[in-house]
Amino acid sequence: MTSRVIFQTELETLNQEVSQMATLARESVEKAVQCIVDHEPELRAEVERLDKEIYRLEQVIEKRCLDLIALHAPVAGDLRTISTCLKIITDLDRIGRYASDIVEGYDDLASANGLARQVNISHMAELVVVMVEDAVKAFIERDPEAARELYERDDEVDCLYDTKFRAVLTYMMEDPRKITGGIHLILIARYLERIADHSCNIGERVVYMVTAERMNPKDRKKDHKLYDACDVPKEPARDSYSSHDLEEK
Amino acid sequence: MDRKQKEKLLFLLFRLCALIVVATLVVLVGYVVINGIGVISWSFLTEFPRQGFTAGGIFPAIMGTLYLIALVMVIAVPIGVLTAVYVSEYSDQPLIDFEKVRPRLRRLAVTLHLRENAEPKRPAKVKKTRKRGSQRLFYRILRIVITNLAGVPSIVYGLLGFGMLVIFFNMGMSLIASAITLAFLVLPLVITASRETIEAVPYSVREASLALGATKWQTIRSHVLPYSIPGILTGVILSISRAAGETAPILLTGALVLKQTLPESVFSSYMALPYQLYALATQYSDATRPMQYGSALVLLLMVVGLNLVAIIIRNKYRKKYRW
Amino acid sequence: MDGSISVSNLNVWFDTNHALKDVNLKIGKNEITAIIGPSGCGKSTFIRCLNRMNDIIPKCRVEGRILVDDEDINDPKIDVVEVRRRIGMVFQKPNPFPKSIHENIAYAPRLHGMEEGLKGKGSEPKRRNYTRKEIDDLVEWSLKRAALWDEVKERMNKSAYDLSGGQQQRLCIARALAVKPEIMLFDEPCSALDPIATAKIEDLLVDLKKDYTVVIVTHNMQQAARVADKTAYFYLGELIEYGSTEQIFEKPEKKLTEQYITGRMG
Repeated sequence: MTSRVIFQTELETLNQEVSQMATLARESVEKAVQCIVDHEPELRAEVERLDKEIYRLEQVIEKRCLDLIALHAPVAGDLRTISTCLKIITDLDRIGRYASDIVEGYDDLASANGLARQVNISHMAELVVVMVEDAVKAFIERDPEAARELYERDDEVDCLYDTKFRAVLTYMMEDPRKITGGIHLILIARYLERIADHSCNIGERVVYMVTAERMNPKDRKKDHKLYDACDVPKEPARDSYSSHDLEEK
Repeated sequence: MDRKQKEKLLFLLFRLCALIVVATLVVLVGYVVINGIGVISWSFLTEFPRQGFTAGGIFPAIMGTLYLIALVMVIAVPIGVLTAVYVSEYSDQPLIDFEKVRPRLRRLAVTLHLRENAEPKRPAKVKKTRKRGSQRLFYRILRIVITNLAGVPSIVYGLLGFGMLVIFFNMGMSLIASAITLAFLVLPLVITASRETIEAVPYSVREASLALGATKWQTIRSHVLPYSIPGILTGVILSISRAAGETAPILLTGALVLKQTLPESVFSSYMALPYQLYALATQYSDATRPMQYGSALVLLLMVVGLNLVAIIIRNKYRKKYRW
Repeated sequence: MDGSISVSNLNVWFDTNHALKDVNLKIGKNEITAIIGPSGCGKSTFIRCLNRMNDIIPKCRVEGRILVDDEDINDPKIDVVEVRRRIGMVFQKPNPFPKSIHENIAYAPRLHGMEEGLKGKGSEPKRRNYTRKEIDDLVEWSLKRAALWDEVKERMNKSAYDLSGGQQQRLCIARALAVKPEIMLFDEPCSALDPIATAKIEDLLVDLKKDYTVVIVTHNMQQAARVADKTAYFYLGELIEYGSTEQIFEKPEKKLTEQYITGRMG
């Protein structure tokens, strides 16, 4: 076998492994959200297992990338692909960790006396799940346009996070019994927001991998205080209507 | 019989052939040496022949041959080496470069009022890089000529020398006529030997020299010719042997059987060893036998001696410019 | 003395084979420019045009302008010998003369003589012969510049053929430097050498670029990546892409370039 054939084979394996890791990360976020929003505690174990698998894959992939660099001196497109893989596995690993962190808070959230119903994060969670799906898809299909879109949705998620944060704060100030649950809820929202950020990072790396362009740092974070109209449904009423009902209106 | 036996038999055959050659040489030389050694003495080498070649020495013949060899070298070596250089190095350039000559011809025509102006009637054609057919032909002919010169019988050279040099150019029977004739005879040897070594100098050395800004001639002079000296000397050795031993050319162009004095100038006739041998052996009595063997031995020794000198010089240059 | 080279519409034919097709390129002063490409793409032909070495090949025809210092070196009126002095070349296989080390380097300067007086454009500088001391100094300087002095200073009169391959190549570099060129051309200088000798020569190249414009042909892309400021990619006689080495190796613009440097050609 020539070294070029070995190189090609290794590159394909790398691609498969990263795609696999990305798929696992997406699954773990989906299951974590499902667990929290649809109240399915049995998914906790599954999410933990996925996290461990993601971590294992990260180590395997990192070694493969370094071997490729050391032995084959890749350049141009190959180099960008390999460096992208090296970087997004960090993001994917973090996503897996956050998913695992989310489900850790399930018990405490459940005891929060209906706070979860009052401040409904299911819409935000949905958005984040879709973002992760799209980021993974953008990587697998090498689609820089889809990747660029992610930033707008990240702004939306950030906006939602701010809203939920203030809402929970209000509830916690009203009723101190809700503080523990509230903090967990905030943390969960925070994790979701971080997952969205990491998805954006992945998108940024995909853009670089395909076009060799790097994002302008100014485009990264829009100033939320200037961002008036968050495209989000109205805040849930304090009389604890389920926000699902509100949306249907 | 099997392979090993066949091989042994063949090797035996080869050794036999070699033995025959060596034996022949030994017998020949031995015969001359044995019969001639008794005649050699200082007086033999320095006196003129007397009493119809039965007494005295062969001094004039020795000197005549030496003069002849010297003259032939002086004529043949420079011409031969430079021809070899030309054929090896400059054969890609046309003899007459029409692209450069035409404008000059046009200008000449203008001054002679044969033309109106010096502008070309037709625009200059894009220069084709293929060698012109005539140029190629010239070099093919040149190469064939050089090779065939070596095969011409020496008596033909003698006749050529006689007709052209002695009669037409009015040199008379002289050293110079013989020397030029022998030079023609010997030229192919010198040219071929020189060409072989010139072409053996690796291209990379030439390239390196040119890339440093040397002209082609500077490159040849400093890097090609010095390393060709061993090969040129080989050619010299071969031509000495040839020139010293040829009889037919010299008898038609200047050698005499007997002359009382040494040659006065290049335009005078002379005595030479090969001719003397021939003359003594065919026209004189057996009483001259000792002198015949003596001449033969002296000729042999002379040629061997000169060759040895050339070989020593060649070895010295080989060591100096080893690859 | 500028030292930059501007090539316009260069075309080269070997008999009827169109070896270089309409090449346009500007080589910067005091930079290392690498010429890469697969075998037979014309890179050696190109670099040999830069010092008119293609003239010695009988069936070669060169058209186009190559401006060095605002003078077109393809102009028939220009003195080829002077061109080759100002633009030196080192070849693929080390080719020292079969002489002593000292003689190898002293040969060319002695030929050209020492320059005296200022060179006006188009006028010949006066030249006089070097004295023996000047020659010795020049030889020492050249060998030091080529990072070979310490290794050979004890045996200057020994044959150059006693040196190792890498040392011989550095000797050839010293020999070329001795005539004080402005531009140095290297035609695959390391392909006959082992990795350590190659590394030494690469270090030398980077050192040389301070004072000379360097153009190097290499089939080893990693070498081009390590050493060159700019890289030009040739394919089948055409210049496909030319840019900074970083840009070529990170984000080549042309697909052909990417194919070649990632090894997916053919």
